Amino acid sequence: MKHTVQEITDQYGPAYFGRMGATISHDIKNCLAIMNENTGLMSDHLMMAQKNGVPPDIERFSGIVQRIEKQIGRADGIVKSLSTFSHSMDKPEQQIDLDEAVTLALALGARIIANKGIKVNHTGAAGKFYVNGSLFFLLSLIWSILENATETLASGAVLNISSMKDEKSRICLSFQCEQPFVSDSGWQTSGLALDLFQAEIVLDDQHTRVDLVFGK
Amino acid sequence: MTEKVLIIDDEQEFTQALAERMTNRGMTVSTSSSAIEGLQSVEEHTFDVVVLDLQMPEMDGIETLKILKKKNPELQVILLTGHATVEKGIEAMKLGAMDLLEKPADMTTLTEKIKKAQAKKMILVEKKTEERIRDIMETRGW
Repeated sequence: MKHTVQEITDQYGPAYFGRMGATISHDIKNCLAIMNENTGLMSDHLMMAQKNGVPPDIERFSGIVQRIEKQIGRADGIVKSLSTFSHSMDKPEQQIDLDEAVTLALALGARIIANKGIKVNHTGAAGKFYVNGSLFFLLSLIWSILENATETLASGAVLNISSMKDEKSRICLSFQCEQPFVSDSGWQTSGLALDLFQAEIVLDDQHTRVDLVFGK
Repeated sequence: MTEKVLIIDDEQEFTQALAERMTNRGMTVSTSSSAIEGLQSVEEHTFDVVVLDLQMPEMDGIETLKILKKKNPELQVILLTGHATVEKGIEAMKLGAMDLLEKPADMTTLTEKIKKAQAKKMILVEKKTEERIRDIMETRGW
């Protein structure tokens, strides 16, 4: 039975959107907290300078300003990702740069992966690989594989993601780790989104690699 | 008496700025950038209050809180979080956290909470000392 984008959106969309929204808001709050403490620190220095009748220490001020600027840049990057993510449901079908989608999926869920203590290396293809479909569902598909793949990995593990073409010239996104990290179960939620992309998930015998293959 | 505070948060730029502001307010402040480092610091030094981030890599704030309270029940813990849910707040209180504040926190509010936490810790330590003295008096046949 073929499912429509709308049916899949209704079923899985809110959960993924909510999960990403929560982690992004947490990241933005952290940026705000750092900016808040640094502006507070400037205020403290101004008050102390006023109280002691001496000019404020310009060098210290400059350091604080740099820290605030860094957080503004960080928050801007987070909000840009959020904006792209929010617009990912605008078109039910579009041409998507696969590596750009992986970068966005990783940026959105960076904190969740970092909290598991897992390092993710993403190596983009030399050329561009495009797939057609809904960006939102490609992101949710990549994320569901990442969540399943990192579920059993111990802290300190390294997960390598790379895009390539397989022996049948099909576009493929590969997730690999030195230690076994995947099981045969747990991929059901990806099923409907896989249909949308005419894709399949291929596990290797050692359970150290899972491939998302487009154009089955 | 100066408050001895430990801040545990993986956002180092946050801990540095917060520590400096607290020091400006007369507190003695140490920082740790992970739960493991923080727990080690609590083993080696005495603190009145721990200001603890809820979400950290390797070990989260709730897990850290459990260990801290098990090892040192008198130690007061104030949780700081970027995303406070009611469930997390209740869980933290049940585990013995003194308070849960949302980031970015207001310095005046945080300072007040730390002073209250220190006072609470002193009462608990005094009570424990009294109990120990009473126990000694009752069990030793002087």
